[in-house]
Amino acid sequence: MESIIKRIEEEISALTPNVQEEETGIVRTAGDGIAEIDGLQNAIMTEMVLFDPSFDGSLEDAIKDADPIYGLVLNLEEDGVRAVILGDASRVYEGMRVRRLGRLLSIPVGDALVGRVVNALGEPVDGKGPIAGTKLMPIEHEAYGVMDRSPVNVPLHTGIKAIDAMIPIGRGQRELIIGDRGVGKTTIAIDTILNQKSEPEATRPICIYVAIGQKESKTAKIVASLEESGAMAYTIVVTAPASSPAAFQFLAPFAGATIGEHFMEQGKDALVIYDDLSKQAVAYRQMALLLRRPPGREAYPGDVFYLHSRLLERAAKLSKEKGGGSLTALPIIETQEGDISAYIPTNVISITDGQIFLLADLFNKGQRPAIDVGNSVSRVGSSAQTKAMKKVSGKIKLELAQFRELEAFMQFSSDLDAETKKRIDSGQRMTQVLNQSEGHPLPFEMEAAVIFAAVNGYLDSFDPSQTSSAEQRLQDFLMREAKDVLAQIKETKNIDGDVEASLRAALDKFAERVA
Amino acid sequence: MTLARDYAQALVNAAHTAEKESTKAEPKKLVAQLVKHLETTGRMKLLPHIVRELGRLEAQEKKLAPQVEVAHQKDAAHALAAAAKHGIHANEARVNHTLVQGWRASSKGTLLDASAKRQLVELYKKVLTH
Ligand SMILES: Nc1ncnc2c1ncn2[C@@H]1O[C@H](COP(=O)(O)OP(=O)(O)O)[C@@H](O)[C@H]1O
Ligand SMILES: [Mg+2]
Repeated sequence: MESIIKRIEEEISALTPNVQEEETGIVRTAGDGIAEIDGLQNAIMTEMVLFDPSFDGSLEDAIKDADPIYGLVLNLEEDGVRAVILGDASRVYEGMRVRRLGRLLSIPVGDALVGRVVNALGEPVDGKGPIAGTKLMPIEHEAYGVMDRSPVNVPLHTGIKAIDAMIPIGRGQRELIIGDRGVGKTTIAIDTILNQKSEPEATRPICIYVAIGQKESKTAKIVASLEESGAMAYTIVVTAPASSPAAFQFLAPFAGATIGEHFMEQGKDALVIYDDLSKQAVAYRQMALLLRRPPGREAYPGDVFYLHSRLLERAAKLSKEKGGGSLTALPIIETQEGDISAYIPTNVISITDGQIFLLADLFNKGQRPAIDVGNSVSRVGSSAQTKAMKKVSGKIKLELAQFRELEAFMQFSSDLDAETKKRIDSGQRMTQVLNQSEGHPLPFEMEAAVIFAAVNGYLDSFDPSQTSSAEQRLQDFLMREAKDVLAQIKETKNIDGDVEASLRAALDKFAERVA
Repeated sequence: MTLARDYAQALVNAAHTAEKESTKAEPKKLVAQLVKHLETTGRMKLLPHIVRELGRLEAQEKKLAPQVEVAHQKDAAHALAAAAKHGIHANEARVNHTLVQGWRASSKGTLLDASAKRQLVELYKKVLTH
C-alpha cells in the first residue's frame, strides 16, 4: 500500500499543466452497438477511438466508472465516421466526446497469455487476474510476403491416424476442417491440441483456440478438458461467445492470429484454430447491415472474401532469415446439409491449402472421425510428412480407394470371388484401423507402427469386424514390449533398415501371441 | 433520410457563404428558393424532414462551436488567451467545476485539454494498471 501512495505522490509532483491538443468527435447517435460520430475528419479505417465517459461528469464519477469504452472505426463518411462500440454500449450516449487514440486496434500479446482465456480484445475472462508483461500489437497488418516465407517442411501431427497418414498437415499450412454441425470438427481441433503434448517441449507449438459464436458452456467444457489434460500449459483460448456483440465475434479470429504471430516472430511454432469462420461471417454480415453497407451474395457484404483471405494469409512458415517460426491455421467451416458450394465454404476452400471434409453420413454409420477421404486433400503437407508416415500412407490410401470402388460394386453382386472377398476384408480392416475415438490422439510413432502392421497383414488373423479391439491390443503390446522400437521410429522418423527389422520382429511376436 | 440531410446541409452551407460574403441571399430568400425548388421537383413531402435535419445540424454546430471552460472564474482571462494562441477564439469562458483545476477548450474537432481532471483520470488509470 505504501508503495502505491509513494508512486501517486511521485506522479502528482511530476504533473505539469501541459496543454494537450487532440482531435475529438461527438456521438451523434448510438444504438445496436454502433455509434455515429460527428467530426474525427482524419480518422482512418480500423482505428481505435475512446468514448470518454470522464469528459462530462465529475472527477469522482470518472474514477468510479473508469473502464474505458473503445470503438473501432469502420465507416468513413463525409461528415463523420461510424464506429462499432467494443464494450458496454449502454454507456455511450448522444453528445458524448470521442477521442482518437491514434493507433489501429491493438491487443496485448506475449508469453504471459499462455494458459489464459481472453476475449477478442485480449482482456482476461478467466477470473485469474490481470495479465502482465505483454505488449500491444495491431490486430490487422500486412501478411508476410513470399520472400520472407519458406516452404512447409515440418509436420504438424494431429495425432489422428487418418489425417496424419492421408491428409498430412505441415507447420505454416492452412487446412480447412469442414462439415455439418455435430460431425466432429471441433473434436479434431481439440484432439490436435491435446496431441501437441507428445511433441518435444522445445518444438511444441503454442496452440490458440478461437471460439467464435459458441455457447459459453461449450467453451467452458473445452477449457476444462484442456486444463485437465495439462494442455493449457501451452494453450491460449480466445472466446467471443454467441452472447457477445457481433463486433467481438468478427474480431476474435484476428486477435487469435495476432497472438499466434507473436510466437512465430520469436522463431517458435504456433497453431491457431478458428472455430468457426461461418459464425464470424454471420457476425460480419450483421455488422455490415448496421453499418449500412450494401449486401451482396447471400446478403454478405461484398468484401467477406477479403475478410477471410487476409486472415488466413497470416498463416506462414517464415524463412530462416526471419527466424524460421510458423503459424499453422486450422479454420473450421460449418456447412448446411453437406453443401460445400455455398458462398462462404467455396470462398474458404479456395483460400486454404486443402480441406478435411467430414460427412454426416459417415458419422451416422459410426465412422470416427467421419472423414470423407476421397474428397479431402492437403496440398502442401506431404512434403512435411515423416518418412515413416510416407512409407505406410501410400498403401493405405490405395487400399481405401480400391475398397470404395468395390463397396459400390458389392451392392449389386451377391456372390463374390475369393480375391474380391479378400480385398473387401482388407478394406474394412483399413477403415477400422483409422477409426479413433475422441480424446485419444496418438504420438506419430505409434500411428506409423499401427498402420505399418495393418498394411503388412499383421492384423489379418482377426476378423475385420474385430479390428478395433485388435488394434487396441497391438497398441498395448507395443507400449509394453516394444518401447525401444517406438523410440527409434520417433528418433529416426523412419521405418527402414534395423528399425524395420525390429518392428517386424515385435509384430511377429504379437501375431504369435494372439494366434 | 439522406436526401433530406443533403438538402439541409446544402442550405446551411449556402447560408454560411452568404454570411461570409454578406450578399443579399439572406436565410429568408434561401428558404423561398428551396421551397420553390421542392415544389417544381414534387418533393414538398421532404420539407418536415429537412426541418428536422436542420435542427440536428444546429445542435451539432453548437457542440462544435468554439468554447472555453475553466475550473474557476479567476482563470478565465488566462484560458481565453491560451486557447486563442492555439486558434480557438471564444468570447467568454464557462465555469465547469468538474475540471478541478485548469481549463479546456474545443472547436470543431479540436480539443485542448489543460484540466487537472484529465490528468488525474489518466494518473488513476496508470496507477491501476501498473
Ligand atoms: N472421434 C470421435 N469419437 C467419439 N466421439 C466423437 C468423435 N468425434 C466427435 N465425436 C462426438 O460427436 C459429437 C459432435 O462432435 P463435435 O466435434 O462437437 O462436432 P462439430 O464441431 O462438427 O459440431 C460430440 O458429442 C463428440 O463427442
Ligand atoms: Mg464444433
